[in-house]
Amino acid sequence: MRPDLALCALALAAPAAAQPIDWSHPPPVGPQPAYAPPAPRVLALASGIPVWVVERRELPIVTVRLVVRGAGSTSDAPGKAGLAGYAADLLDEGAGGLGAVELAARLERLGTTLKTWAEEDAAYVEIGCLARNLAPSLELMAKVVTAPAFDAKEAARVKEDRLTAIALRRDEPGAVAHLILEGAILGPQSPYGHPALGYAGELERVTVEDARDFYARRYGAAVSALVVAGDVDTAEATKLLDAQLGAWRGAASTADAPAAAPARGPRLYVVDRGGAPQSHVLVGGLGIPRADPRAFALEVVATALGGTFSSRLVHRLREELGYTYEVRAVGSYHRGTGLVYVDTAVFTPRTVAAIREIARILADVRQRGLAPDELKAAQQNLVRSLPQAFETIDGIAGIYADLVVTGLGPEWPAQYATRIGAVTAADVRAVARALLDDKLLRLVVVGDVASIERALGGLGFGRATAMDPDGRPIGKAPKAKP
Amino acid sequence: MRPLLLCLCALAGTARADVLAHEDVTLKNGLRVLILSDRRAPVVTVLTWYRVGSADEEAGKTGFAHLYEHLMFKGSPHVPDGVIDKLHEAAGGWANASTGDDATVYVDFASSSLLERMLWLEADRLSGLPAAIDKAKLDNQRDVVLNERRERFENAPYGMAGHLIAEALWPESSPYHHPTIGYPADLQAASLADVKAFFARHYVPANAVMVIAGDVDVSAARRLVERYLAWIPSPERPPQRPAPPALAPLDKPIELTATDAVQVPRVYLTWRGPPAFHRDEAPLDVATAILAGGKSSRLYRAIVMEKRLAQDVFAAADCFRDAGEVQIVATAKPGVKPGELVAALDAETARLAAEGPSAEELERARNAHEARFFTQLESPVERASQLATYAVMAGDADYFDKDVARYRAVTAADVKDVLRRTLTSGRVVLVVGPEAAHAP
Repeated sequence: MRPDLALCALALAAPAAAQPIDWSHPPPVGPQPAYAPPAPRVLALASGIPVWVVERRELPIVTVRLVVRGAGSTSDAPGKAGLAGYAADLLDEGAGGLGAVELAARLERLGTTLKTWAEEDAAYVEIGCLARNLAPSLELMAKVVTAPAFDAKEAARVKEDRLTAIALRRDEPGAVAHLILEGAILGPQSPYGHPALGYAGELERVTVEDARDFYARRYGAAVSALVVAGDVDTAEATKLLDAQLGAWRGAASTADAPAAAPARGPRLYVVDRGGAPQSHVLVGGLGIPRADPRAFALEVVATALGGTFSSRLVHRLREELGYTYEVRAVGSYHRGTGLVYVDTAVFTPRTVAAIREIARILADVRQRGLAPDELKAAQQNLVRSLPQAFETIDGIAGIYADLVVTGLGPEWPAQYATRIGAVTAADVRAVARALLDDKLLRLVVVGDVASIERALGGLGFGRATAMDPDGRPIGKAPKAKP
Repeated sequence: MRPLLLCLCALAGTARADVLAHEDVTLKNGLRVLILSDRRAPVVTVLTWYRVGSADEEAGKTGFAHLYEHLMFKGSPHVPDGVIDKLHEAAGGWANASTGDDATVYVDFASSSLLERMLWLEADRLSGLPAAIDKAKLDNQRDVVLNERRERFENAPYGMAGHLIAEALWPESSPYHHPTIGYPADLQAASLADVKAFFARHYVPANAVMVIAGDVDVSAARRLVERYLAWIPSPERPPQRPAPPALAPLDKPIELTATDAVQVPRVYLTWRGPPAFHRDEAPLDVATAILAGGKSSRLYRAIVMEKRLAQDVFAAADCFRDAGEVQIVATAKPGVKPGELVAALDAETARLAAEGPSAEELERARNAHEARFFTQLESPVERASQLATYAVMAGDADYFDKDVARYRAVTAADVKDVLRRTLTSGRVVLVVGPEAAHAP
C-alpha cells in the first residue's frame, strides 16, 4: 500500500485531542416540533360546487384546480380507450369565442399556466397565476371549463399529437413496463385496465363528436369541486369563482365508483429491447382503493420496503449488491382499486439475481412482517415528512384534489399522523399477507430478452408471455439463445 | 435518488427580497455559513455547496466528482454506513446530493429538531471521512454509478445526446467537454488513492459555502455552527480552477448524427453561450422563452401547431461558471425529415433575430419568468439553493434585487442583439434518430 499522504497532513493539522466533538454519540434531538397540515376552509358556489380554500399569503402566487369526478379514463367508452384524456386535452384548444392560440397568448401574457388533463377517476383543469392576475386568469379558466369549442381542425391536430405520444411511449422502458403491469393486474375488462393515454388502434377511431359528447355527459357542477391554494382571501376567491363559474351547471349528475375486475392472466411478461444494458423490472399485484382502511398499513409497508434509503430493497439491491441506481416500493391508489409494486432498473446480467432478491424480501415481509424498529422508523418517517408534502401550493392542491376524488374529505390530512401511528405489527402482517401473495404477483421485464429469458423461466412466475412495446401479446416468446 | 444536477444556474425574478434575508458568517477556517430563518414549517435545510464539480476533473478521471459524492454517504470512522440516512429519515427527512459541472451540493432536510445532529454529521464528513472508505464501498458505489449512467443516459431514449453535443461544442481542453457522470473506463479505473487525494484537495472548509435555512433561531444556529464546524482545520483554500480563455462562437457548423432505439428523429441545435450571471444571460432567457416558452411562443406556434413538423419544441440557455450552452430541441413528427425541421427552426429564429420581439412578447416572457421565480421560492430546499447560488455563482448573496432588475430591464433591442451575437452559423447540429432517419 502507498502511504496515505493526504490523511497524514490532516492528522498533523488536527490532532485528535483538539477535536472538541464527542463522536461517541450523536448529540441529543430536541422535542419533535408540532405540525398541523394546512386545513382548507370549505365553502360552496351558488351552483353547489364545493370550494376548498387554503390561504398561503407569503408569496404572491395562486393555484386553482377544478376536479371533475367521473370524467377520467374509467369512463372511456368500450373500444375507445383514450377518449377521456382526449376530451380533457381539447378543453383549452379554443373556448368561449377565443381560438386556441389567442387563448394561450392571453394566458401567457398574464404569466398564467393552464393545464387540462384526465387521470383514471377524474379530469382536471388547473391554473397557476400571479395573485394580481387571479381575476382575469379565472375568466379564461371559466371559458375553458364551460365553453370549450371542440373545433374540428384543432381536434385533428391534438389527436395526431396524442397518437404520436402513444408511439413514443414505446421508447421508454419504464412506461412500457407500467402499461403492461397495469393491464396484467387490472385486466382488460376493468375500467382501470387501460392507460389514460389510450391505445393507438382505439384512439384512431375516436372522433371530435365523441369528445364533445363525452364532455356533455361527464362534465358538470354536480360532479365537480374546486381547490384553491395560495395568496388569496377566502371570501374574495369564492366571490371571484362564483362570478365566473357560479352559473355553470352541465349535464353530468353522478360519478359512480367503478369496480375493479382483477385479471387472471399469465404472471410473467417480457418485452424485448435488444442489447439493452439494463432490464426494467416491475413486480406487483392488486392493491387497494385509497379509502380502504388498510391503506395506512400499506404505506408503512411500502416505506419500509422501498420508500427511503434505509429501506430493505434500497439497502440490499443498491447499497449492498450494486445491482441498481434506484429501486422503489409503491402503493398507488385510485377510487375503486389500487396497485402495489416494486419498480427498478437493473444491470442486464444481474436481472435474474435482482428479481430473486426482490422476491425473497417480499416473501420475508409477507411471512414475518416488519421488525419493531423498522415499523417505528417507517411510521416516524411518514408522519414527520408531512410538512414537505404541503410545502408548495401545487402540492396542497394535489393532495386535496385527490381527497375530493377518493371521497376521503378535507379532514384526512389532520387525521393522518394518528392513523399512521396506530398501525400495528399485526396490521402490517395482514396487509402484507393479503397483497404480497407470491402466487398473485405479476412480473414484467423490459430488456434484452435473448440474454435473460431462459433464466426468467426458473423464477416461479410461469412461462413468459412476449409482449410488444404497445402492450399487446405477440404470441410465443422468442427462444433464448442456446 | 442522489441524482445529478446538471444546471446550477439561477432562475430569477422579482420583489420581496426579505424571503432570502440572512446572516452571513465566515468561520476562522474559511467556511462561509449563511443562516436564513424561515418559520413557515418546522423543518430545516442544511445545504453544503463545495466548489468542485466535473469541470475540476483531470483527464482520465472523469466522473470522479460525482462518484465521490456517492461515497460521502457511506459512513466515516465515527458514523457507520447507513446512519446518515437513518437519522434523517427518523426525523421525516432525507440526505441527498447532486453533482454538476462546477459544484457538488449536499442537502440535508429534516424536522428542525434535528439541526444539531445534522451539523454533527456534516462536521464528521468534513473532518475525515475518507479514512472509512474501503475498496468494498468504492466498488459498490462504482456499480451504483454505472447503473445510474445506464438508467439515465445509455438506456434512456435520446439519453446520450447531451454527451455528444458537449464533446463537439467544447475542445478537449475545456472543463465542459466531458460528461459529469463520467466515462465507464475512467470510473472503472478510480482507486482508493484517488478518493483520498480528491478529498484532501477539495473537501476543505474554505472551499465550501453552507446554507442553514428554515425553522431556526439565527443566533442559536450560529452558536451550533461555531461549535461543530469552526474547529475543523483548513489548509489554504484550494487553488480555484483558472477560468479558461473566453471562447468565441464555433467558427463553423458541426453536424453529427447518432442512432438510438427511438421512433422518430430529434434535432438539437446548440451554440456556445455566456457564463452564468453574465450580462447576456437574462436577454437569452427572455429570447428562448419567446421562441419556445408555451403554446403561443413562436416556434411552438409555427413548427408544432401550424406546419406540423414537430411533436414538441424546447429552447433554453444553460449556463455554467465559465461558459454556457444555448439550445433549441425539437422532436420530429413521424415522416418529417430532420433537415426540413432544422430549416424551419432556423427560419423562425432568424426572423426573431431580425425583427426583435413585440412588446406583448416581452411582457409574456417577463410575467412567465416572475411566476416561475416565485414558484421556485416556495420550497424551503429551493430557497436554500437559490441563496447558495447567489452567494457562489453570482458572487453576491444579496443578489435577489439585482436578479429581479436584470430581467425587468431586458429590451427588444437586447433580445435582437443577443440572438445575433450568439445564434451564429457556428454551432453543433445533432440528429438522433432510428437508422432510417439518416438514410439519404
